[in-house]
Amino acid sequence: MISFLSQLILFGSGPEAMPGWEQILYLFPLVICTSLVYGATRHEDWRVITAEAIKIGRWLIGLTAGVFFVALILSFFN
Amino acid sequence: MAIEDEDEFDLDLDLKNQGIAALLAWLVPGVGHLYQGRTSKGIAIFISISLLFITGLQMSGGKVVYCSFKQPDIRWQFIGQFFVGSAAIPAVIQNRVVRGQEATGEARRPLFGGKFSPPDNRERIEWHADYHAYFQMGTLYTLVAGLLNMFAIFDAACGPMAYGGELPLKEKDETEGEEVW
Repeated sequence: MISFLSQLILFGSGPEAMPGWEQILYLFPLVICTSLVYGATRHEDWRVITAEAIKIGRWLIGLTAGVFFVALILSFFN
Repeated sequence: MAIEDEDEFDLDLDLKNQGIAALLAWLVPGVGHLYQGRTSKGIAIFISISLLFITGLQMSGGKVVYCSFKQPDIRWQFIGQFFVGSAAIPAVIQNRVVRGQEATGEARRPLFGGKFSPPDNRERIEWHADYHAYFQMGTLYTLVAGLLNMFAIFDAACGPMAYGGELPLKEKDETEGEEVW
């Protein structure tokens, strides 16, 4: 719990304070907000909005992970 | 409730004055929906877009939202950021003030302590050196926030985009024992 709170404090302090893997925290607002707003602007019923947001969120995380692994593999050849 | 087709899903939606709703949605994300009585949606849109915009500003020291369409700094990303509305208006005012001063040969004296003002070449190079990739990421986050609000403005003006199409929600009709859409 303390570790999680310290990560949140680092998040508030800006990127210079979080030079390591913690920077991945920036992915969450992007994925959550994008998928939620996208779903909310396409439907009116909250059950459908939630289902659409989860679908878009999964797709975004999959795409990001795919790009990450391609970049990781390419980095081995550098 | 079994939802067979969204055409049959009676959506009793009063958009009120669509122009006012769109204007309010542009000024402050989500407020157009609050005006229409779509409270939960308005709050969700306000929190989401504001959080994304503030995250973008936070990671880049608040430098990434400025209006400049003069060589060598053509800030095309501002077109997307502009859809966030009132948060982008200071950047337009700063642009008019600073460019007006440059045109008359005066020294640059931006308003609001220089917040949201277009940088000169030296400042711009310093910002990129100080924030590295976070300058681009902050630009991306604020740009995405603006583009999402563009969807929200459309939703406030004309209603949800997928209305009339097929629902992605699958439900089990327990009485019939078969799956329906």
